[in-house]
Amino acid sequence: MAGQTERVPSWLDALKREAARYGGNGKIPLRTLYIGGGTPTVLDIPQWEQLMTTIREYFDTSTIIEATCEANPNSLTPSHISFLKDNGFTRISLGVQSLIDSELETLGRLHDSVQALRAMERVKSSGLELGCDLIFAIPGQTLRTWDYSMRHVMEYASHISCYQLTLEPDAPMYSRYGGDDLNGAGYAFYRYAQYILPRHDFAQYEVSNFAPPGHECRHNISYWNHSDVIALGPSAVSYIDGVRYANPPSLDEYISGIEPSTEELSPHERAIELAILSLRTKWGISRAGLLPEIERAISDMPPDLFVITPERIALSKRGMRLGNYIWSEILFYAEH
Amino acid sequence: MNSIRNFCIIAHIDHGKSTLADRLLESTGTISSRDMKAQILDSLTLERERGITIKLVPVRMDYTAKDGRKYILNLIDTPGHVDFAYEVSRSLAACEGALLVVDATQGVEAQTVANAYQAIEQGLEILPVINKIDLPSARPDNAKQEISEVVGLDASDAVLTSAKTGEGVNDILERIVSDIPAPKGDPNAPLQALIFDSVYDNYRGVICYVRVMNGTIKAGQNIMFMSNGITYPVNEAGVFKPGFTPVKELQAGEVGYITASIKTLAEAQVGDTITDANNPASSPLPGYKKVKSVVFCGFYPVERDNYPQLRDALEKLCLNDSAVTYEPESSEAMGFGFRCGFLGLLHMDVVRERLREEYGVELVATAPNVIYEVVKQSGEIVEAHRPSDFPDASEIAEIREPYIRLSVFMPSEFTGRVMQLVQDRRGTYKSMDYITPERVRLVYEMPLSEFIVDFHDKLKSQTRGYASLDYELIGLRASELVRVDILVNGEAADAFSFICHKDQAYNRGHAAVTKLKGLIPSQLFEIPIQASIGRRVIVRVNVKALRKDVLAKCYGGDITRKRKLLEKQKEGKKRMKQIGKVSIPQEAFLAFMQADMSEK
Repeated sequence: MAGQTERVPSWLDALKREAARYGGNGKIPLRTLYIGGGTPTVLDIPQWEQLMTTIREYFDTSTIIEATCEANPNSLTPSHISFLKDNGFTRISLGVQSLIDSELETLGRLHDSVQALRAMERVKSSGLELGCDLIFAIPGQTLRTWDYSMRHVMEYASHISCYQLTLEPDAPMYSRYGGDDLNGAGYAFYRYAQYILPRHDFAQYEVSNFAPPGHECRHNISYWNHSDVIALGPSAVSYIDGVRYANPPSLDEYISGIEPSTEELSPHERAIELAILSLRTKWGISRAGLLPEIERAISDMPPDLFVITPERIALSKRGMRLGNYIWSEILFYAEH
Repeated sequence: MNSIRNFCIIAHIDHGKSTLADRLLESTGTISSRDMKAQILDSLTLERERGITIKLVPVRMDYTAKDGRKYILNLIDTPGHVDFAYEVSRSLAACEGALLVVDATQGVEAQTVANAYQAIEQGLEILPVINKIDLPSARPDNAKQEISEVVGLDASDAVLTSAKTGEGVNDILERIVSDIPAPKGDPNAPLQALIFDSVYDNYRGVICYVRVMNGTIKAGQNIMFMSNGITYPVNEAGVFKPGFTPVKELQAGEVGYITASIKTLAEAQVGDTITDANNPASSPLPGYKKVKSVVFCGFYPVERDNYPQLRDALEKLCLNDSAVTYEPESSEAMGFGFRCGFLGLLHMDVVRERLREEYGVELVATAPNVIYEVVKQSGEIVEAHRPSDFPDASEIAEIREPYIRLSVFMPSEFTGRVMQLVQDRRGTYKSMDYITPERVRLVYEMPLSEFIVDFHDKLKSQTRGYASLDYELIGLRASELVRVDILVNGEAADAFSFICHKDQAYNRGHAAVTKLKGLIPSQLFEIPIQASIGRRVIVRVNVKALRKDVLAKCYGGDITRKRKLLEKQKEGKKRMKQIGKVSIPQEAFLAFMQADMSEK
């Protein structure tokens, strides 16, 4: 919604209409709340009031154990922080990306490292939990600068997500920075993150997420557990009882009330998808009731990819690096 | 019979044979220039597109000479490519004379010489014709000199002509009448007719193009093919006016066609003798032999499901090309297909093209190979068509492979490069002659297997297209050949085995494993790829294990997208072939099989 602030009111109306559809017959109790989509801090405080009123009108928020708001260092103001605190939010997820100015510039970010440090400082001193996103395999990035960003973020944050910069072949940066080579360059950075973060108590609890035990983002865990999720807004995807509902991606279409597209998963598909999603996490999958073809797929792969106990199967560090291969093997076995 | 002249045209591919033939037809009023175009285009689309004339249909022309007498001129074409050497010899056998056409701007080319020699050996009267004299770069005197130097013919009275402008065409017609002898033969002797070509027609069955040597042939007559004893009653006898024009009978000395509801070309082979079943000749005409495939390759449908379509297409194609052989073959990598045999590389290309154009079959052709003869320790001799046919190395006493004698004509500046090229391919030097100070003929003997892999293209690129070549098979010779096997993760991958000379085993093995390294995607473990001779590994490379492939983000909206990505990856795996624990994409097999193994 950045640059389209004049459309916020109609978006809020549409959101309310959508919330009413879910919460029309009595309030649904929420366990976690996540306000994301990049930059919810473009809303001013009165707009935030309206948003929270909508949520409380249609959902039971008293059951919430975790409420997160995404923010960018350049748009997160002290008044946002105190509003979020006053309204029961427990975490802020901050798009830090890097603490090296040249890297932030390459990424085309609107903030610099000072703004990022300042924002982290503010969140930390507010008492809210802080999660930070970091990006690796940025052109010009070295293991030394990657180490610098991670170490400083660890001083403030209790949760770190590491994402590789992946360039699509049609992105201008793709050819400028040597495309495939760049995409292949993630290995060293990722491996280094797998090494350094756990040494500071940030355990890898999912392919791209690290946190000290007890500080994991429970909202995200619900995606990997196939829990029901209600998602509102353009391009939001809900998952309720084995059915996915995907809202139209464009703001116009969303505001005009176009219905979400649906996708219903068969029980078999659900089992496979759940296995693949659970295998993203350090807890892995339970072997009780696991499809035999999945067991077989796993036993046919090199053992160093897995951590196998009598009860559960999870990916090893190396397995986490080769997830796509492993998951597509599982899909392959599931069909044969 | 005295008024008949049977002749052919010997010319290099682009020296203007077709144009000259057109002119002759026009000048004799056999056909108007407009019809001419249509006729030629109709029958020769494929050849025209490829820029190669394989064969023109024979034609009969009525010509009134300056002496006022009427003559019948039968023009019988010879195939313009070395693959069809046997057909050439049969066409020549149907003639008493030949026009030797040489381009005044290019001089004598290899193919021309080979065919001219053959014509001379068969006792034909050779009439040298220098064509394209209208071009500014024409050097007719040089061309004459080359003819006398290389072919050994007196070319001082060669006809100078331009098929393009028509200049000299009447002189050619007069010289055909005056120089080429009339056919000899006894119309009352038992029938002997030479099949110099045969084509398949959907409605009439096989049409045999014949030259009657002795006796007569007519509709209703019971004829017999002397090579196989099969008999048929003749439906129709006729001449090429052009187009099929029935006549009452064909007499000794005449050229024409017969139909007899013959079902397959295999029954009416080129070179065979037709005789009267009720009054057979005592012996067939000399020179018949069964054509043997010398080059082989596998044809596989691009889509595995299209195997029956490919089979039907091959069956139909063989109705009018009896020189193609095929037998079912299956490859673990590519499924069901056919191992096909051809007269040569061009023939192979033509067949592949025909399958595509005429029958709509998309196929993959594996790299061509030759037949080897393996002498076992026990003395037993086996033919090996593919690497897997080779017995265990310990059982082999000797391996023999087909050799060719190769002659290359080229401007002398390229001599060094061409010698290098031929020597790299195990060629043995035989001779080098300066035809003129600027032009050289090199003669080498080399293994056919080295020739069929890309040699012609390499020669053309080394000589900027100025070289021409000709070859003839000269038999089998013992060679120090080895079978190189490729092991993927320790497992033999049969589809990648190949035969080569032991001195090339390392280079080719290296090329093969390097190529495969690029084709086999990284997997969860390191994959050694080895080339070995028997148990001895000669080269090894490793496909490094995959290190990282994770698309990191996967939350609510990403899940469907992620699953689609994985589904796609999985579909890719489905099309892969497992060798041991290694998955190899089909594309890798295809790329490998079509690869030029000589690339270093």
